[in-house]
Amino acid sequence: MTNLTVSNVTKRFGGIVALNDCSFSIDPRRTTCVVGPNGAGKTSIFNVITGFITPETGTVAFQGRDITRANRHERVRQGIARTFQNLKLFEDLSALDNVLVCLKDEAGNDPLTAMFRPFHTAAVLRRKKAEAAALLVQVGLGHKTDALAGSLSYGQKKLLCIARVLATGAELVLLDEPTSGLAAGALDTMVEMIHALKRQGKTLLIVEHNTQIVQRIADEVLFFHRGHLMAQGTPDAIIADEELGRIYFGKGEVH
Amino acid sequence: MLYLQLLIDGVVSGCAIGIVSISFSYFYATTGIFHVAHAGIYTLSGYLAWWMVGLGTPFAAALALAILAAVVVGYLTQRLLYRPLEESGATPLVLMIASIGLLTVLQNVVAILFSPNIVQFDLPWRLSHTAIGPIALSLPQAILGVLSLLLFAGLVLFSHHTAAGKRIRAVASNRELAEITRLDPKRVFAQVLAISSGIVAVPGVLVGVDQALQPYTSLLVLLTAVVAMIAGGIGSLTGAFGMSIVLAVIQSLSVAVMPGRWSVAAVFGTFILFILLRPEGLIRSRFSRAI
Repeated sequence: MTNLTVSNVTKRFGGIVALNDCSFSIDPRRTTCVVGPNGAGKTSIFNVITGFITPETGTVAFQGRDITRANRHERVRQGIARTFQNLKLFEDLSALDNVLVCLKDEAGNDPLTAMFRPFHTAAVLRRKKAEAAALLVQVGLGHKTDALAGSLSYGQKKLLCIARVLATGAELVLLDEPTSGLAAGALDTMVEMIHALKRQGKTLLIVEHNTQIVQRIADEVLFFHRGHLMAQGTPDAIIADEELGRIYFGKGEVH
Repeated sequence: MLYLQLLIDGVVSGCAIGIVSISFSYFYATTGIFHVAHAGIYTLSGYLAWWMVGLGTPFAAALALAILAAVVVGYLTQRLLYRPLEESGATPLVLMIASIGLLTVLQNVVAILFSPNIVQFDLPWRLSHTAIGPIALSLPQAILGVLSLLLFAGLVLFSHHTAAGKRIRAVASNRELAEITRLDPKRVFAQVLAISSGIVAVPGVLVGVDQALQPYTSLLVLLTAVVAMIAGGIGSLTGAFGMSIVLAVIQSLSVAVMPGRWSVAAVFGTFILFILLRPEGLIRSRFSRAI
């Protein structure tokens, strides 16, 4: 069954066509990289899928349901979560709390229960803390649980963003440039993290510039250029295509 | 001895202002809405309790019902006033003016439904005193002090040690991100205003029992509470509560050294000095929001 289907999506900003009649679908448990030069529409397609912008025409369907006009947290509830190029975290909260507040809600978590059944609420909190701590360990931040999110290093913040996204329990995870700005060591950690997510059966959609990393992680590549989806195919096929290479790397120099 | 008595009186009334301050601050830090109508809910809850006591309701039940009514009014204020305005793109200034409008409505509703005059609770025990050494404390003062401290501790515990409280802090920290995680800020805002309103009903009723009720004076209480919030560091419940007590003690003690009519000026004078010397507040706020 197809997981995500984008059909004939068009979005303009003033005179600029950010997305022009884009259609593609993504199967479950596949990792798809979105590539293309700057301004190609990569982030726009993320924004359409996650509800940050509404397309003028076209539809987005997730697991057979039309979500074109669903609001953002409805989409999260249905199992779509994303990270951002400019990291977004609850900077005033600890790393653990950042993950904890994104976990699925359960009964006993509302203010009234907290007041009248404090022990029940405390038990719920203990369970959630353990769950959040396990996710932090999974992304390699097990030693930073109590640190304020704002005090973490750039690489650690990126990993925390992934833990936050995982906490939502999303099946479709969109990562916007997860490896940009990372030093070599942190970069390998991130790639390993992405492989771990693949093994867990997540469907991943990733904006990635580095073609070597694309080859390491992608099952499939979507190539965007000036709002058009130019090609969809395996990483090797896309990278071998000379015309796409010219678009991506500029005229005349094919990698 | 006089000073000790004034000090204790100041601490008790500081506790009451402190509760107004932390409940106002809790909503303000989370939503950025300058909820002036908080003063109206404070007044309304006092008069509701007074009316119920007049009908023969036991005081504890009247207090509980007044708290419940405040919770409902707070919840409805968020749902029917602030939320629709925010959804139609209202600026913080528009929200504050709407809030002032609601305050006027609430004060006048109180005056029309109950009484425009100063009223006192018909409770025989409100004048009974306990003496602790040389200090006299009225029973309402004692209850007010104890309940205020419990509410303060309860709110701090709730905010830091329950999942629901952490969510509210998360929404306060980054609303945009909250929208795209599992948190639903609009629901959280209504919860916060319900909690804040329920809390502010306690001093609303008990200060009324201790002193008297007036429909139009609660704005001065709120003003002092807001001053304490700013001086204490916006977003810090402990700072707001602590500064409320400091300001109320200054106001109370000033009576001993200057004419009573200057006591309010003493409070605001202190505030101006404080804000000149430590503009970030007593406890440096971790919230990015500031006035």
